Amino acid sequence: MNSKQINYLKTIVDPKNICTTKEELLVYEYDATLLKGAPEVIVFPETTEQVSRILTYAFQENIPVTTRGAGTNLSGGTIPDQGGIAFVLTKMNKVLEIDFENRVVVVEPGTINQELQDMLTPHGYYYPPDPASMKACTIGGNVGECSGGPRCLKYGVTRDYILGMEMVLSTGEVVVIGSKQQVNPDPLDIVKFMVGSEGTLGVFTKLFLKIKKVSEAKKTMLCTFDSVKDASRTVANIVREGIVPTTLELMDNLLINCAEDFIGLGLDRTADALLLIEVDGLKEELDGQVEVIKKVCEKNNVKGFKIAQSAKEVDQLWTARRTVIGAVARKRPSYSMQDVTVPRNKLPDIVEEIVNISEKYNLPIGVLAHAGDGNLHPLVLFDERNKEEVEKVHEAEFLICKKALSLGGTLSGEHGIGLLKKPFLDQEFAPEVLNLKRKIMLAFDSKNILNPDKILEVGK
Amino acid sequence: MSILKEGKNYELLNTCNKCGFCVQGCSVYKEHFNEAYGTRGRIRLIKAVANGELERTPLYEKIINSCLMCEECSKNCPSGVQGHLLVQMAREDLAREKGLPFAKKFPLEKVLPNNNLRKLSFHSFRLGKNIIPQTIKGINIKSLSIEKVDFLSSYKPIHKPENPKLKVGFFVGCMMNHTMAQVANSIVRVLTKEGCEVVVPKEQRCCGTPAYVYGQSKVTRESAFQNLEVFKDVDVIVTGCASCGNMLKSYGKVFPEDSKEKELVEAFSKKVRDITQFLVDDLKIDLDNKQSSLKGKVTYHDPCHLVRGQNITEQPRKILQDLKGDDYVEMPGASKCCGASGMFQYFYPEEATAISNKKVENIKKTKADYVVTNCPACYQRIKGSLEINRMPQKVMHIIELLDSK
Repeated sequence: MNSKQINYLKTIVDPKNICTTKEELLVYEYDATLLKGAPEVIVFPETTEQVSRILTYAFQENIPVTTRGAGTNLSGGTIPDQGGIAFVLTKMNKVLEIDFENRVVVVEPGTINQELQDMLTPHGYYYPPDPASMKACTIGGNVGECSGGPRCLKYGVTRDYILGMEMVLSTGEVVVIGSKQQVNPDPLDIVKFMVGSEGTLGVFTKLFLKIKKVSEAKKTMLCTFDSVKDASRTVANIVREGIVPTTLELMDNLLINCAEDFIGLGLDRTADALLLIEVDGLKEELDGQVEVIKKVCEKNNVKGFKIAQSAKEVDQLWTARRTVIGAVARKRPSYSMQDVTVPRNKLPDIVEEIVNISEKYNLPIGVLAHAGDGNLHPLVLFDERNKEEVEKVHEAEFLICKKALSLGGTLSGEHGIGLLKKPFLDQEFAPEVLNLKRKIMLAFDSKNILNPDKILEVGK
Repeated sequence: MSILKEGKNYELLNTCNKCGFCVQGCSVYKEHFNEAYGTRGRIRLIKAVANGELERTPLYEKIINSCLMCEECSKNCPSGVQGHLLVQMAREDLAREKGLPFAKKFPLEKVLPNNNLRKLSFHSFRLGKNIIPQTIKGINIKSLSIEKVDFLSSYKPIHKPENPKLKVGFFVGCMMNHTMAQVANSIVRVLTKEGCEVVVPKEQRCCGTPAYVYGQSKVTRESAFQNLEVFKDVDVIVTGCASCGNMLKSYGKVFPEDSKEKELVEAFSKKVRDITQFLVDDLKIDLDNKQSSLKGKVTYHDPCHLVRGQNITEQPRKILQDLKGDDYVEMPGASKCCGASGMFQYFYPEEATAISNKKVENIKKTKADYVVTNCPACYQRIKGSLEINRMPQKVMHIIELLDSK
């Protein structure tokens, strides 16, 4: 970009919202992955009108625009690897409307997930998508990636909670799609396209979200097993019994120990696997559910079965779960995380393969899974300064992805494709399907300026 | 070679996995919404300097010095990265490679560690403060009362109890010494009433926090030796200042690993207690039969260097909840920084004012009559900010509630 272009941007937003210093460019070259790519300018819009005028100009000048929120992305989707504008929406962070009667909330995209929850909690409501990074990530980013979270087994992912949005197209036009109505028989539902579009189809400026009333009661169980196989069989069996827990989280031995190092809850460090199970609903129906779950666990050789007794205990268990990914980092300087999904009865197979791969490449790999929906986060630990080791990590991850696909699974449960999983995409989708996706992307963004070549190489 | 490149230091810089969990807890980031002003960004920049990708530019310096040292990021980091210590290391590097500006160097190196010069400068400030503007960069000068004679100079030992339980050394700290002599006297009275022999060494020196946080560990090491010497004959060292307590308890970190000095100061540090910690955990004072000196609603502000620096949250709350006569109410965001952070408030007035105003808003929500804390810096900042916002609440040091005359 030249100085004329940058000066023009300064006529649209307050010059303090345009950054070009080396120091600032350096801190917008990354997200939570190991990938890097620096923008040429950082722009912080504050209004829909500014977003629209900037996109109008970028379209005219053919400038790449990479939209981002808190930069907690785990697939490299927010890395401005083609330069151009890092379009940072953190200043558009207001909760505009909370309507309990209609159970609708309107937020700006830079709103932090946890801050929205904090506003809803005192009223007995919540917004179900709860990615582990909820304390840090933005709702705009959640919609862009179609984030899930532990609760999504029962309550669904971000897609199930987005009623509509105001967004700006690559040409600068502002459109409102969907509506605040709960029932929305849209014959060609564009909203669904937008959720999980990773910033390639438009820039959200307002989001209409569904919220839910907190259930009357919940029970949280902690079950430990001597083998990952027993734990994963338990998962499949519980669902077969007709019970849908809110969450069914699995951690393997390595992660149990990391969580224990960080929080120190007295988890069983010798267990091979741990299941964190939570059910919610009406008070009277929960005891029965817990009984059934206990029986299933026993049938699968459970080692320890414990019901959390206090809200504090529940909180601690969840803190352990939410922070375990970072806690793993204590073992080695770097980690890389995959996001593959397999049918839940195939969990033992993929876990077995991961153990084999870990041994073959001599890399520690921890397994964390939203086991209920077969979504795994294998965490590979290494040192990014060791080039040889990095190569091994790439190979190991490729094999994990391949195995997941061969078991009938998918590459991504909730982290998106971004840059990280782009090379694997043709393993999952037929060429015709990829072409169809390309056509849709070009229909929205004919010049391919919005987060260009993320997910797919579009070509112009 | 820059200290940033030294083995263990460089290793620490590489433990950040950039998950971003630190960013939202950072009060300064919340004023900028710009990654550069959050911990993850700062660490990236320190690494860039260490790698030689970036010069120590004025903007770099501005970003590194914009950290409150509130330790919120270090507490939130699941990877255990101590963000505030990395920033301190970067400041140490800046002080060595570029030197500190006079406005910091002179007070940190010359005035604070020198008891006479420090007295002189507080004294001059007291004389001059009525002819200068009453608010400077959002700091309420008017509300800051400076003692005509500081506590250490005026202190007369009081009768020690018969068969004292313990010999307690009272570390008063510069701010309390010069601006809150009545609080210092209350601490001595309460400790004596609880059966302790209190000694107040006159030659005690600034704890060294201000020098340490701006990368002048050398000065802090000298303070450590002096304090070690003057407090060598006591069983316990008690302070009513969160920042002093935090520093005294962690002198070890300013000395090299496995050094003889480190061992010595760590033995000293083990004897240090915050006043609330000492009264509740060690003396286990009987609160049920005590009357608070206050009537009405009280709320509590957690000083950063107490809640995160020393993990002390329950002891002050126990005092407030158990004392008779007052009514305790928890403040939303009680543990968020008040915006003082030593010299930060002077060099970053916009951020500091905004952060303080959030504290004032939270105080307002409690409808309390009194805000209680136990750090002189927080005390003065909150008092000043409440007055600027024309709020009626009075600020009290926690010991004042226990010292009913």
